[in-house]
Amino acid sequence: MTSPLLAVEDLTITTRRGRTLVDGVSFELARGSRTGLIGESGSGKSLTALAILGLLPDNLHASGAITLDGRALTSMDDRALCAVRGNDVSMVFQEPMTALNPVMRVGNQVAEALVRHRGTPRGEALDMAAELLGRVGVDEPGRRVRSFPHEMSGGQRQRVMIAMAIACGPDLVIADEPTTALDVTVQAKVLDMLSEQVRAASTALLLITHDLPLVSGATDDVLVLREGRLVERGPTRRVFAEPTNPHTRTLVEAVPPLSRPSAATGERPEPATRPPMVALESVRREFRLPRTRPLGPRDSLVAVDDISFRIGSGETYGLVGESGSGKTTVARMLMGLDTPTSGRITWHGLGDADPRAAVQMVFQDPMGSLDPRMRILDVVAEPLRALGIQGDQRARVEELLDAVHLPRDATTKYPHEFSGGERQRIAIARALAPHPKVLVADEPVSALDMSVRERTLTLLGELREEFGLTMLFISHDLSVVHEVCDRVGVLHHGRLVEEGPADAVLRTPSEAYTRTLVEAIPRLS
Amino acid sequence: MSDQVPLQLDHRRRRWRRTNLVVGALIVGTVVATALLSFVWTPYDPTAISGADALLPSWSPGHPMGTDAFGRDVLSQLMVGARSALFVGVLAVSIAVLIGVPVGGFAAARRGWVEDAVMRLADVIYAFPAVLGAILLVAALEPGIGPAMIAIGVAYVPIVARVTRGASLRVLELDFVTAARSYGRTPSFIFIRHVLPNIASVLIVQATVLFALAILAEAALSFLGIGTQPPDPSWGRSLRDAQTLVRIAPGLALWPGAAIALTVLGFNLLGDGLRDALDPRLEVDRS
Repeated sequence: MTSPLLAVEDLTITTRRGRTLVDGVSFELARGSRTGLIGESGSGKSLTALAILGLLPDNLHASGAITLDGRALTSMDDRALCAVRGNDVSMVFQEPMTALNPVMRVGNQVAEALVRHRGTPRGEALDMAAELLGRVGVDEPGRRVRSFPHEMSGGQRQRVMIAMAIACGPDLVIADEPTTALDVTVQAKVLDMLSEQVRAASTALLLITHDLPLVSGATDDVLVLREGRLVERGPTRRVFAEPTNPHTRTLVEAVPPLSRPSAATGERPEPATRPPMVALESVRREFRLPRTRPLGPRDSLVAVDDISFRIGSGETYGLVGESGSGKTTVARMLMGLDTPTSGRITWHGLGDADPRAAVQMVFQDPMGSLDPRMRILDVVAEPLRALGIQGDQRARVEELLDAVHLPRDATTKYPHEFSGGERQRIAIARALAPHPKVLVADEPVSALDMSVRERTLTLLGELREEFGLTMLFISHDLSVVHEVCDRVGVLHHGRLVEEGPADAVLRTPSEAYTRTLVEAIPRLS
Repeated sequence: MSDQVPLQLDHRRRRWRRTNLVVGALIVGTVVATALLSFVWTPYDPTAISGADALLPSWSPGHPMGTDAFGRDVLSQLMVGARSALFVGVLAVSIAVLIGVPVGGFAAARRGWVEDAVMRLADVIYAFPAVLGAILLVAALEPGIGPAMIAIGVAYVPIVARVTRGASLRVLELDFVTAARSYGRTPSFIFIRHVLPNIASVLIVQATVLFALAILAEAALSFLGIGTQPPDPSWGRSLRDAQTLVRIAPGLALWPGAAIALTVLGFNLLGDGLRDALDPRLEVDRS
């Protein structure tokens, strides 16, 4: 057997206070191999990657040995490591907007690595940058080298990141959630391209992600991390087909049916027709854009274009679409936070209830949706106070915390003391406080880990039954929508392109766009 | 999700900032303690004139910082002078904060042309030199520290308003504000209950820096003779009185000059240190 490209031996990372974040992780990567490193947030997967690059924050302490091609990275000083980073090992980050320098033309950023590590003359490096951009599938690479990051779409930016990563022909590319910030249709293309590039250059790839279907298509081997420990490893196919570790099994089981290879679940019954809760009729919302130059014309952006649909009482209606398709604008109009430019929204099922109480919202980001300076009691009781609902607030809050399975002593704590999943449950408790009839959930599980996501969805399902809620469920994730929704509407550039029972639309889409979306869903292979 | 680990969290910088906070707090604490002490005790009556003791050099027995041309004890004057320095700081900063915060918050909440109008007006005021405004107001009213500091405070309103607006805009975009709006909370309630607590740290830092600027402004105005009026001692006026004597008695200029420099430095260090101590983005290892 040839010596491995990268060997990580007994890597342990601890905080100053002695908390162990990564615990005795050892693995080897062969030249040209493609390996997935999966785990939930806090499992230590990103820290492992940072440790390989010697980029751990100062307040963390790492021990163990990391050897790249026979050289011990752990004993190198900063200067020597700098020569390794970008040249022998390079990294692709999750968020291309922040990982690229916003005031530097992308061509220069790609050329930078060549000039720095290879000593290539600048002019030549720029030509090579254009060629690299072409190879990673950036449109019109000759023109794009002169673009700034903000002038490109998320997918194009991520391609630039990958061009930078492969510029010097590294031995190893570490990609940390490289497609998480991208739309589904773009995700698949970018990942295929990355996979193809590393294979062509026989570069090793370490793909870090929480998304199992994604790993299954792009890697040969997989490592599963849990709470800093390596709990399972092996060929990707084998691990996903017959997981031996209970944690891996949980992760595999959390993969929604739509992301599974065979349509194992049976046909769902056609959702029953119900009396309407709300009806949207030819709703249109235009935003006037700021002038691009003084006294110039003001363009407008049509965010929602002539949409009509109704949601039945007690139904869960899914609204899917990629970023910018107008999903959130629809939610905001239903919440009364925005008004349609034309068209009508009519509530049929609210009776004489105050819509501000009867329609409540759950947001995507569990960090931003709770005021960090308020105690949980105040957070959950706020809608009660705002709407002047009488009664014992503390009792109501405790009842709601029970309903979302949180301990009652949470009332005295602040949001930062909870994990993302717990914060999302607090947000749900707050939404339920004023006895709503309708819940508008805008990407409620997108920011959560797979297993937490599953638990949150189950909880939402329970609560829907218990309180007879009507739900508008907005998501870019088709498999999640398929799992929880009765009916679904597909938005594309502000238009409703397809609508119908969730199972039918997502299994046998009739519109071309829906088909593209469905085909782009990463599946366990 | 990936583990949110900041990539270049520089620990040395943190520790350095911690030093700033401690040193700044120590200096400011000393100034405040001195000012309070001067109410109950000073080595001599700061206004007592004594021809026999005039122009004693520094380190003279009984007068560690010497005496001025009228034989007044410099140390006692400095101690009482700390009172006026702090008084003007509190007055000017209070005015700036009490007007600037609501104005900035209003602009942030309203957006559109109202915001533009308010902020452009702030720019106009900002473009006007603070000290010049103070001189005009004093000329129109009467010489004295009160009117001068009101003018300085008003001149700082745009600074506070801008900072408040910027910080508020960030908070107003967050979902908990959207949630509050969805159940009908009024903009002013949202500002007081949700925005203010979340931007307090930024405002505290800004207030500290303005405090230092106000002390400098008071010294400058008193140096010009339109700030603190005799017989109340003031560091700026002590400097002015020392001007003609700087060759024979350099200590008269050195001591108040050092007091001003040190106090301003103290407030700036404190502001810098607080900025870091209160910045939640730098709170690591907390989850």
